[in-house]
Amino acid sequence: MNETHDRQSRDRAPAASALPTPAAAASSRQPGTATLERGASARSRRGSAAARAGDAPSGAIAGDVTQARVMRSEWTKLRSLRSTQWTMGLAVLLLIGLALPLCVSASENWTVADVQAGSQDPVYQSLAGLLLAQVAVGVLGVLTMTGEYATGMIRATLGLVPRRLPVLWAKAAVLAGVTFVAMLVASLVSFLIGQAILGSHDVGVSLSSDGAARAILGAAFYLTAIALLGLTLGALIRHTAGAVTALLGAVLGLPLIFSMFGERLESAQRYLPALLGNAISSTSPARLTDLVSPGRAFVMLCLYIAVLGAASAYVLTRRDV
Amino acid sequence: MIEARGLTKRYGGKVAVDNLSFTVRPGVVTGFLGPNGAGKSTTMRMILGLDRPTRGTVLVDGRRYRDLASPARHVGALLESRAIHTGRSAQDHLLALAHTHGIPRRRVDEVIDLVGLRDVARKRAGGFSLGMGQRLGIASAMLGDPGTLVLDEPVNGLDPEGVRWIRDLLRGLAAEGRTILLSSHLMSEMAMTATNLIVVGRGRLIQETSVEEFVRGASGNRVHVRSPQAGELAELAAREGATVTYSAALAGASSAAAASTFEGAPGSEADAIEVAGLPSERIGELARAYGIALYELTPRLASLEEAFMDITRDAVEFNTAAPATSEGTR
Ligand SMILES: Nc1ncnc2c1ncn2[C@@H]1O[C@H](COP(=O)(O)OP(=O)(O)OP(=O)(O)O)[C@@H](O)[C@H]1O
Ligand SMILES: [Mg+2]
Repeated sequence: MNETHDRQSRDRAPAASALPTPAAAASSRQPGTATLERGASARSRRGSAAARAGDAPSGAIAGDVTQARVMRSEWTKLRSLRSTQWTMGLAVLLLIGLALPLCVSASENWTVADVQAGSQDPVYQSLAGLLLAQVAVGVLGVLTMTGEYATGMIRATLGLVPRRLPVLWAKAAVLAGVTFVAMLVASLVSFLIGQAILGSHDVGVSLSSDGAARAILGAAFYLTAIALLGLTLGALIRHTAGAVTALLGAVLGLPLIFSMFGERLESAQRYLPALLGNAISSTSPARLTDLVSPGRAFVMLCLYIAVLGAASAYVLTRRDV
Repeated sequence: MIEARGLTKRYGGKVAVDNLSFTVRPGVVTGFLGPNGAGKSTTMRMILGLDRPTRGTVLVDGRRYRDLASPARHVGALLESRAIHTGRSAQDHLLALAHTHGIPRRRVDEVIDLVGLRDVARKRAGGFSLGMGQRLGIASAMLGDPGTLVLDEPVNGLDPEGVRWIRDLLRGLAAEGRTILLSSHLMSEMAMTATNLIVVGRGRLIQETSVEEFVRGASGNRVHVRSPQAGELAELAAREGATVTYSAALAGASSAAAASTFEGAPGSEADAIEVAGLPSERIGELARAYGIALYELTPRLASLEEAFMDITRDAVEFNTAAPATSEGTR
């Protein structure tokens, strides 16, 4: 009964008086008292806006959505999650941490002749930590996408960027940028530490040696590619566990499975992401015989990203959220 | 302004929204009512371009949501399920959303103060209570100072203070000329907040009306009459086709105990009746024509809840079983 009376009396009152003034609001209530400064006060002065129906007020505080703005948003998202720091820190730690025992072991077993003949590869030896680091960056890539689906954040994200694709491109760009820079630094440190250890037994090489710089860049690029593959798998599968499984299956599992098929799949094996990563981050000609050339590995990895990227773009724009 | 035309959404074989057309006008709060599973949330997701309609269109300010260059300026939304990453602080969450539209940091601070989350702005949203999460969702909706607000059960989980705050906020925003679409299952709250109503059931439009008319149209309306000759008046009213019940709930609160003695004793000392199906004017005239004294003649509108139950009875998807009678269980 009260409700009806209440409503009726309110309806009779002019719109302006039904509007709580900021001052009244501030004095009568504690939480959420600061009424929209621009909104309430400025607009009520314009008189009964309700009379001018159709001419809805729209805040000038929001600009248009642009790719650059979405990138900034994604950067804020990435840096403000603890999982980013964890996975990235772990990747750096694993990359460098594995170089130490690998190079200590090699320095004790290798001969100078091995290295000169190219049957051992000191460059790859110091970068092989990427075999573990790839798991960390891959998970980061997956989480960049699935974290939003798991928490429902994706609805807020795509609600603000309804064309959707700018979100995918921005996530990819920010993730790639962060991963590449971090992994490049880690690879370089890993290389320098590794070569210092190997060098003490005269089996190390210098940064200016043939292919060393390319291999370091290649390692960082490969890890970036894995992060991006994780991102696209996350966009396609939308569940963390499923996408991580798919990624690890493809990167770690497939080479083993291919090799069990013997010769039939031997020529195809070299095109698997893991072996492309091997190709792009090693220098030894002996090693390179079963692998594609670094240049081709680069192109192939780009192709993988492009194909999965296109698939996730297609799915992202088609599916309901 | 939101205009839906022939909006239809099918999930597999299930039709969630069925040829729904309505208009949400600026300047008032429009309530979106319907039983569980009626398609309210689905409709709201389609308004926001999150779900693609199987058929039909929905326009915001005359354009498809996807075609808006600055969506946050036009629409702010609070959806049914949380849309907040649990690992991020409230402030970073809002900041990330604000960046997409180039909204300045001071506006983020403004909406944090608006919803009263200043003290916990730097805490992880994962640790927020239901009501705090709801407040953060409302802050996100207000970021772009939008002309239209779409709110799916915003008072869900809010304390009485928060419920009242939302009510005042929404009324104020509507009075500024904004468009507000609000769904809620709290009928008393809806009655106090909304002016217009869109009522749906099983995905179809049942009524597009005002709260007043909706309540007036419900069958629960009746007139409370008190008279020393109530029995006589009851007969007269019944002859005119009205349904008369002897009221146990008398106007005076003190007579609650006495009311039970009146039950089943029509025409004796009972002096209060409820007349349904006859306007108070006609009852007054009857009383005068037959020389019956009237102590009280009060039209009683059904509550919004009664009206809602009455009108959506046939459209309830998940009917609860009637409780077994004590005889039945024995
Ligand atoms: N993503 C989906 N997939 C399949 N069915 C769905 C999906 N979303 C909604 N539905 C179905 O569509 C119908 C409408 O659901 P919706 O959530 O829109 O109802 P509602 O009116 O919001 O109900 P409530 O009052 O309980 O919130 C329900 O039967 C629901 O099961
Ligand atoms: Mg719902």
